[in-house]
Amino acid sequence: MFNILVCDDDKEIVEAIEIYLLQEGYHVLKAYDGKEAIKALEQNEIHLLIMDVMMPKLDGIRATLQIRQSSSIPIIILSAKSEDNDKILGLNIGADDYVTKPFNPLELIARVKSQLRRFTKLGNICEEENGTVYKTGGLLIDDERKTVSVEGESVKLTPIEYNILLLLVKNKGRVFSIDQIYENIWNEDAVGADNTVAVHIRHIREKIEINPKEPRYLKVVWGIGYKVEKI
Amino acid sequence: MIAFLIQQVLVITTVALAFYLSNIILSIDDIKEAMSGKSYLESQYFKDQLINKIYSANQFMDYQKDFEVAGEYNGNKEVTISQFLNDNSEMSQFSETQIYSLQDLVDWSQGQIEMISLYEALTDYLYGTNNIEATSKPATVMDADADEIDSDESLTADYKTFSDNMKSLGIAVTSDMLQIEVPKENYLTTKTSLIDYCLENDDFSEIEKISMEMQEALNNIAEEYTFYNQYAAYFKSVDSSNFKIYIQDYKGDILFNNCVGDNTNYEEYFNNNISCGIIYNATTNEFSFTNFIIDDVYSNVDLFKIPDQVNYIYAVGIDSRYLHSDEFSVANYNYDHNRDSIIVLVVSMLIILICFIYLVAVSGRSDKDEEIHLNGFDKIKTEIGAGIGIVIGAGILGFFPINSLNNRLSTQVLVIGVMGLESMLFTLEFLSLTKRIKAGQLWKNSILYMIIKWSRIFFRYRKVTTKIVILYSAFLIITLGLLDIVFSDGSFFMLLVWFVFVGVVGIILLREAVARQRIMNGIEKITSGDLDNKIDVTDLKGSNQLLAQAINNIGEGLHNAVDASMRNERLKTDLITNVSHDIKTPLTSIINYVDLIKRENIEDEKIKGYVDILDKKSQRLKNLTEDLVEASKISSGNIKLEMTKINFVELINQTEGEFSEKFGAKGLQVIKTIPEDSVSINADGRRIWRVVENLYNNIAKYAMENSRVYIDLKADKDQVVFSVKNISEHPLNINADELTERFIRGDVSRSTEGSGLGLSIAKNLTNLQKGTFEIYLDGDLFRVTITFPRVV
Repeated sequence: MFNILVCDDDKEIVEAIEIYLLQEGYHVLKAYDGKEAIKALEQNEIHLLIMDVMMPKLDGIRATLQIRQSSSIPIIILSAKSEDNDKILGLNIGADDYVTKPFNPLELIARVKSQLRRFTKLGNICEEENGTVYKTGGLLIDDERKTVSVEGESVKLTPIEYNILLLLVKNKGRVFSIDQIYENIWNEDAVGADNTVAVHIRHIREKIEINPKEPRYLKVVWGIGYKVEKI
Repeated sequence: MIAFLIQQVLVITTVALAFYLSNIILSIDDIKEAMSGKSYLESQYFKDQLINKIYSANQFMDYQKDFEVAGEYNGNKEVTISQFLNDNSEMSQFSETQIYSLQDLVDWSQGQIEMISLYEALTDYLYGTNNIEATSKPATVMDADADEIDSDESLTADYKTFSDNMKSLGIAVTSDMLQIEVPKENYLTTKTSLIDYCLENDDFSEIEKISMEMQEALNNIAEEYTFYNQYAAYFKSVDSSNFKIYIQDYKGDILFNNCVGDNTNYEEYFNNNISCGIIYNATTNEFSFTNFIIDDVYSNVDLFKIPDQVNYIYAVGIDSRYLHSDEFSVANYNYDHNRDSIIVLVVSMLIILICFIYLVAVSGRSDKDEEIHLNGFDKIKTEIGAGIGIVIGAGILGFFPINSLNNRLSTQVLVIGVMGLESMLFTLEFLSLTKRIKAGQLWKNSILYMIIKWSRIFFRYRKVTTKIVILYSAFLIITLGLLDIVFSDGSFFMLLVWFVFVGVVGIILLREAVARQRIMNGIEKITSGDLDNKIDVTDLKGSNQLLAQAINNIGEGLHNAVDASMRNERLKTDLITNVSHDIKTPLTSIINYVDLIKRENIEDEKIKGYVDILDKKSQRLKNLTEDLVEASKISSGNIKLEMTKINFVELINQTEGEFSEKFGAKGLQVIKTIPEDSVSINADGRRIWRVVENLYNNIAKYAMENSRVYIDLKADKDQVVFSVKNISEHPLNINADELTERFIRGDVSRSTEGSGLGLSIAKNLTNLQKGTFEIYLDGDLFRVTITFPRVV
């Protein structure tokens, strides 16, 4: 049973989020500005905080900064500000995730789950990388058992998809062009002008990412290739 | 141009023809008759000629009476003065009776008649000049002779004395009579002299009348004799004329005949040879005509009356064989030939006129445009052009009379040539005039207009102009005044003053020029975009300082305006961003609660449909707000680009991977022509992806289902050209430019999803990354071409 604090000056949004979280079996606490949130954190045991940025009295950014001085609970910022700069700022001051309004409820729930899993299991379940296990963030590939899981949830991939993902995860941070991936996986020369690899990559993204359009693990480097982020 | 040449050739021909025609003078009526096809003999012109000849013949017959005896001129013929007087009803006894020799009178009439006073005549007569000695002459006479400047009074006294002397001799001569001018005494009659006659009759009363009659008669004789000789040469010579005349009295005596020999029967001769004979029988008072149409004009009996004759035959006519060269043969020739020439003349004149009108109409125009084209001459000031025209025009008129003075061919050729040239120049000049009028330049391009314009400018800016004029006049007066003193007095000091003055004026002018140049430089900087530039006004003076300050103000105003517009653009972007935030919050609630409704188990299909619509539209609203912010940022250039080397081939393949399902769902078949090797450009990866994504999205949304999509990438040394082509599902009834305007979409009804900003964003992003973005529409074919410089 996790306690989740939802903080937004818009009551309807708070209530909507509450409904979704209740459906998932979480316990929800509500706050309507930054000060209330900090107060609620002091008085209750909170496992995760969802917080708006633009709020009266104390805005989300300042509140996050204050909270980070004493707490390391996961904070998901939920904001109408969708600029790159806003996201970078939010993540830099200590937020763990950044979701823009209007949001997809399923995506929000998925992110909440992901954050909670990481927060609670971190340190407890520590599947170290060894000869056959590769991981980045919540993405884990066990090459011996040929299984892939994201935040503990197992994902089903086709053999080609699995091979592509394995190649990228093995070489975290390195960018592979389509031709390179093709040559590695199919073991033959790339014919060029082919989009097979790109299609597979998209399918992988759809399976392992919460929001395929804003991938967390498998990223597209436009005009250059693909890579798996080192997290 | 052709019309011009035709006209010139015709002008020259016409001038030549006019010369030719000027040899005979036909009246307009004659030309009309000639044109109507009447022959020469039928024409009024011929009638007039013939009647004139008959008059002349009758006149000649009168003269014959005076000058001839038995048909021949006879100088010994005895004649009286009375025959030659205009009015012989009240003539003097002397003139009526005294007989002269005809030859004497003719001789005298040819010279000047010597007149002396009766006094002198009587003195000579009585005392003689040779045989009577001067001593026997009265002293008074001697005096009168010796002293010509004797007063009238003394002369009158002399006459009185002489008259008294005469009276004593029994001769009645008054002193008044003595003054009368009389012919000198050697104009003798056959028997006596005038003085003798008077002395004999002892009557000097008629002396004046006689003298007058004598003079009148001699004048008439001079005239008649001239005509007589002319007529005689014409009428009496059988071989000289085509005019034939034959007069016979009732006795059969031939009074007049210039036909042929006397033996020939005149009737036969006329019938055979004379095509227009008129025979008048005075006895019966009847006319008959040979080979000729009876005409009233010829039936004028008065024409054929011969004085002192009653019964006679008068036959007259023209020998139409024209054996001799005279006025009739010439007239006949001219009449026929001139008729043709006149037709040519009239026709060519008409063509000249048509050419001229045509030239006037087309002058200055060309096939290419509607403008009036002026050449160099047309740009000469109107007055100068008009002057040249007048000189040429005067030349044309001035050359005409030369022809009448000189009929030589060489002169005529010269005149024709000059006339042709003149007419050519005049035509050009006239066409120039019409061009000026057509172009509205007649007045605007005149010296007078220029003067008026300058005067107006002078008056309008009189504040400055009068100042300059006064200053300049003052400068002239002072410098010239000083120089005048220097030259008259040789004053060295004044020369020094002059140098200083001129030097000061020069320095002032230099300073002005420098100030002007500084202001010019300032203006140049502002116009080239340096709006912050200020002209230093501290050491400028007067109007230059004001001018520089005004320019500084303008620059500042421009600077502020540009600043303001930039700030406005930024504010606009900020506003749109803020508004979009404010929209997003309620939108979030809408989306979430719609989703919550969807999660309820709704049985009612109708409500399910409604919720679906709400879902879709709220999603669309979400896209719209996001695109709106992005579009506004891009169009205001308010984004930061991270340029790197991008492989366009990779990008296309990646993009296709992203869109394979979407395209597949619509049955779109991609036909791709791209190079195998990498083709690199410099761009911001995410932004160039956005461009390509928008284009693909556009295809996915608007391409016709189950059609082909062409993706081409071509690269040469310098450029990378990427193009997408597809067939639009909806008719594209807008132009290409409009498609990249914000909020324009291919389907005007906007029934499909999409914000209408995709192409606008793509275009602006492309431009920001130094690429070009072009849309081409042809019917339902939609093509976008993106060009980037290639990077190796």
